[in-house]
This record gives sequence, structure tokens and C-alpha cells, in this order.
Amino acid sequence: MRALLRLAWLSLANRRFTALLTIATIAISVMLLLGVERLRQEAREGFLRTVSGTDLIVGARANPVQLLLYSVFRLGDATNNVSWQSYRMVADDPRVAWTIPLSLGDSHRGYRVLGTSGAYFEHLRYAGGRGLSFAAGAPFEGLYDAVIGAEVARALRYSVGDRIVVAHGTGRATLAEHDDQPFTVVGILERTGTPVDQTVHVSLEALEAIHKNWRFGTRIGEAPTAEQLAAADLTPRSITAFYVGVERKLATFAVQRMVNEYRAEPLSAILPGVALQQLWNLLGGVERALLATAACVVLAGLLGMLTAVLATLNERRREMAILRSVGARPSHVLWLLLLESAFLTVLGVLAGMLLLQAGLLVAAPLLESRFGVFLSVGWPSAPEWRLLGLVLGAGFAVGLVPAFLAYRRSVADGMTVRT
Amino acid sequence: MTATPPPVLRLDGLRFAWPGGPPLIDIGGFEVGAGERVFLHGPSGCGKSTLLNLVAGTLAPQAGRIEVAGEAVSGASERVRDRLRADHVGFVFQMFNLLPYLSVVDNVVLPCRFSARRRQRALARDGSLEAGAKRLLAALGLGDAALQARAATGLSVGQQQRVAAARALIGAPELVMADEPTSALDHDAREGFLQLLFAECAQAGSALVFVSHDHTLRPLFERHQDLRALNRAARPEAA
Ligand SMILES: Nc1ncnc2c1ncn2[C@@H]1O[C@H](COP(=O)(O)OP(=O)(O)OP(=O)(O)O)[C@@H](O)[C@H]1O
Ligand SMILES: [Mg+2]
Repeated sequence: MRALLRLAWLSLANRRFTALLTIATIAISVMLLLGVERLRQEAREGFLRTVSGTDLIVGARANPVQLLLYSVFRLGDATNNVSWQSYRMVADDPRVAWTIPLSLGDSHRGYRVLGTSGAYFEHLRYAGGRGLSFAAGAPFEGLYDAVIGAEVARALRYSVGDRIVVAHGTGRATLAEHDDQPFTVVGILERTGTPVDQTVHVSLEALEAIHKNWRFGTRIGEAPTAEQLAAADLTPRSITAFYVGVERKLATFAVQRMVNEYRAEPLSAILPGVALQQLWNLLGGVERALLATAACVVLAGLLGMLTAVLATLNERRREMAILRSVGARPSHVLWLLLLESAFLTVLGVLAGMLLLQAGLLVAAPLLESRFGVFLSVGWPSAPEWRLLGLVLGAGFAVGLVPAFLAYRRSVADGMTVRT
Repeated sequence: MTATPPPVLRLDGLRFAWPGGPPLIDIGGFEVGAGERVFLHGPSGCGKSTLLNLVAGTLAPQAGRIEVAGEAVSGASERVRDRLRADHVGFVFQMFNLLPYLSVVDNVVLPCRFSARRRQRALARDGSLEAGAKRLLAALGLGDAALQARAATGLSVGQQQRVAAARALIGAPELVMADEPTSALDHDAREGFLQLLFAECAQAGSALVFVSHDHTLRPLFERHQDLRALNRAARPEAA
């Protein structure tokens, strides 16, 4: 066997140009496959951890996915609000450690404006426990302070100190602007890869204040003066939804039941992890299609190898006849060809892994800063090993074809080759 | 060795035809004794190469018996036939005898990779396979170390044939069969090649069956055999 390994290797080295091309083809296809798989995993992980550390999300009674869509992804609108009384009722429950109120409805140049409290910056977690941190500035303190997400800052080229105007409603073409009460950017958040990046955060009180002189979507009268505002009660009557963190994890279900069975108002409390999983399953077709495409590319790479090896069979009839004459058995010829395909596949897979690592080293910081996608450089994960195993298996299976052809030919040719 | 060593090659009632073809070979009896040198000749197409393949066991006869070094090739399983060839027979062909991706020495050593017996015999005689290959190469006039390390394709045709001879002889097989090994060489080179081949066959104690049309080489052999005279199938009345 060692002699055969050496022969296969030397024979391949003798044809190193085509061999290298074949290896490169396999390597690139394997890199693509592993890259897609890793991206898929990281995207899924990232998605499933869009909200972490939050035990429950509470909103008006709705389908969990719908509640998730508007509360977390700021997509669509809530059908109903949650009254401030109900919110306080849950927030004051002794089993509840913290709550983050969320109030949506306004926008700034296509980005959603979120009314919330300081708890947002303190308790919101994403990607498995990372907290929000500031690229510049600090959380809002004054009434007209705004904190913007990384994508908002990048796309609109905002920096701390810039003044922005909030528009009423969420359409891009809204003309009704709260231009009488502009905000000042006081903080810019680091990129998270979650919808936080696309959000303008202000306080609940500020939202209340800018709507003081509004009724049914139109402005009436003058903006309230500072004195009027100081005297006014800026507690909102209702909010869109809120996040809940419980004291002890075991209490999660009890609090959920309490909210779901709350009589004064129809509310829903959902487990974000479960709802995220449901949503991901809805979207999962895309990633599977992507993986299938990459698998087809690998198959094409392996067929390329098949062509390359088959093309050599004719010119190598003499080689096989010589081997037979010095005592090689037809099965030795079979093994020789199998080993050759195995070398090509293994080297291709190894090169593909290295290429991917090199690519990740270059691309990972870029992907993280530009898209908030965290790709880790390092050993393949279990599903990646499985894929690699499949590629190797497929390579060996493809290698059976020329090996078997050469075997049959070498039985027929014996030691003499007729051309 | 016993008092009367068995013939290294024995054919008995051997018959062979290619599928769908007329009977090509029909040999009543033929023997080659240990260390004998036989010149086997006959016109093109009379079945000389086919006979070589039958002896090698890469073709199976329809009837009759083939023995190599006292062991039956005919009737044996393919595995056994492959082993007998590897153990007992060295071959030299007309041209293109060498694997282009191996060095000269690696080409010579090749039979020892497939036959434990020849490997052991080479080791017993020369200590290492490489030493055995180098001894044979030197005896055949290819002692230059730089030349031995070269890839086989970097040699002239005459040099390649001598390397092939060294490969046929390593591990001292009982029988060396050469199928027109000199037809690509000029006349002087042919005689030189044959003298070297004879000397090394004698050294190794191998019998030589030399197939050729070239009758100028005939006087160098002690025994001549026209395949047509041996082969009943080749007679006009049999065909
Ligand atoms: N693989 C094969 N299939 C069918 N017929 C074959 C095959 N190989 C050889 N033959 C036929 O067998 C006959 C003998 O061929 P062979 O090669 O043994 O002749 P030869 O004596 O070696 O001739 P030469 O001196 O030209 O080498 C020829 O008629 C040839 O056509
Ligand atoms: Mg011939």
C-alpha cells in the first residue's frame, strides 16, 4: 500500500499542472460551500440572538411572530397599544426585575423613532449577552435628546451634536414634521447587526411632548413652551409594547400566564427565543437554497476532477501495462486511480479550508463593521465537518468511475497495449 | 537446488484463440530449462506476443497447461497468476518500458514492490534494493550516479532498454522474457545489449526467452525455436 501511495503521488506530481488546476477547482468550491454554511450558521445564531437576556415581550393580543416583527424588527404596526396602567401593573410585579417600554409610530428619514427609557441602554442584550455600547456620546438625558443606531449614523452621516427633526408617522414621504421641536443627537451606538442599528431612540416623555399640540395627525396651535412642558404630565397614556426581564428564570412562565390571562386588557406575552425560531423557520428556505447551490458547485468541482482523471486514462494505458508486467494486479491499478482521486479531493478540501480561513481573516472585520455579522475564524464546526465528510465521500465515489474503468481496461490489456 | 531442477517454463497441449478468431496457438509441448537461452522467432502476427501474455498469466488459454518454475499458471486463479508472474518472470518489451515519473533506480526496483520473493532475493544478495538496482545498472553500463537519479524519460532508447533489462533481472527471477527488445537499436548496440543481457542472466541464473525477427542475432543463442514449427495452429493445413 505504501508503494502504491508513492506511485499515485509521483504519477500525480508528474502531471502537476492539471492536478493543481483540479485541486484549485475543488478548493474554491469547498471554500464556497463552507463559507455559505458558516454564514448560514452565524446568520441564524445572530438572528436567534437578536434579543437575548429578555425573558418576555408583551404587547396587545397578537400572533407571536407579528408581535416580534413590530416590537423587535420595527416592521409593520401594532394593531393596538398597551395601556400605561397595564404596563405599570406588570412592571411593578415583584417577580419582574426590569422592563423596557417601547413606543413606535414616528420616523426620521425612513428610520423608525423609538420612544423608550434609560432601561433600554442598561438591559437590552443581543448576540448572547452583549450589551449596547456607545461609539460616541451617552444615553439621552434631556427631553430633546436622541441616541441613534450605527446604521443611521453611517447612512445619514450624523455625529453627536447634530440636530434632527422627527416626522409624524412612518412613511418615507411624510410631510408632517415635528420641525417645531427638533432633537439633538447625544449618542451613537456601536453596530450590533440587529434592528437597533436602524433606530432613532428618544425618551417616552419626548414623544409625548412633541405630540402635545397634535390631534389626529395634524398640528394644532403652537408648540408647547418649556414652562408649559415643565408643568405638564408627560407620562404617556399607552405604549406599543415592552420587554420584561424576570428576577428568576423560573418565574417566566408564571408572568407569561399572568399577562396572557389579564382581564382588563387583551395582552400577549411571548418568549422571544421561541418566536424568533418560528420566524426563522419561515425564512429558512432561502438559506437552504443557498446551501444547495453551494453543494451543486462542489459537485461541479468533483465532476471537473472526474473529467481531468478520465482524460488521462488513454495516455496512461502504457503505464498500466508496465505495472502489470512487473507483477501489479488489476486491483493495484484500481487502487492507484482511487488514491489519485483521493489525493485530489483531500488536497482540494484542505486548500478550500485554508482559503476560507484566509478569506475570513480578511473579510471578518469588514463584515462585522459594515453589516454587524460576526464571523469567527477557526476550526470547522460539527455541521461543517459533516459537510467536509460528505465532500470527501463524494470525491471518493466520483473517483470510483475512472478507477473502475482503468481496472477493466487493465484486465483486458494485460501487458500489451494495442493502439 | 535439487539434482534435476524442474524446467522454468513448460507448455503442454496449449491451445488459445482470440474471442471469435481462428485457433492462434496450439503447442503440443515445449520446455525451457534453468539458465537456458532460447531464440524464439516467427513472422509477424504468428502469436509470439500472445504466447508471452499466456506465460505471464494475463491471458488464459482455452486448453492445456503452462508451468512457470514448477507452478501451474493455467487453471490458477487470477490472483495466483499475478503472483507467479511477479515472483518468477521478468519482462522486457520493444519500447517504452519505463514509468516516466519514476527515477531510473525506482524503475528498476519496481518488481520488488509487487513481489515479496524477489524483494527478499534482492535484499539477500545486495543488502538493499537500491544497491541491487545500482549493481545491475552498473553491470549494464549505466553506472553513472547522475544518470541513475535522472527521470527515466531523460535517457536514450538504448539506455532505457538496459534499464528495462535491469528491472527484469532484479531479484533474480527464474525466467526473463524479452519481446523484441532490440528492434529500436542499431546493429552494434543490439549486440552490445545482448552480451550484457546474457552476462547478467548468467549471473542471476535466469533463463532467457528472446523473441525477435532479427536473424542476425540468432548465432548468439544456443537454442533456436521457430514458433511456426512448434505451433500446430500456424500450419497452413491447420489454419
Ligand atoms: N487483443 C487482441 N484481440 C484480438 N486479436 C488479437 C489481439 N491481440 C493480437 N491479436 C491477433 O493475434 C495474432 C497474433 O498477434 P501477436 O501480437 O501475438 O503477434 P506477434 O507474433 O507478436 O507479431 P509481431 O511480431 O508483429 O509482434 C494477430 O493476428 C493479431 O491480430
Ligand atoms: Mg509481438
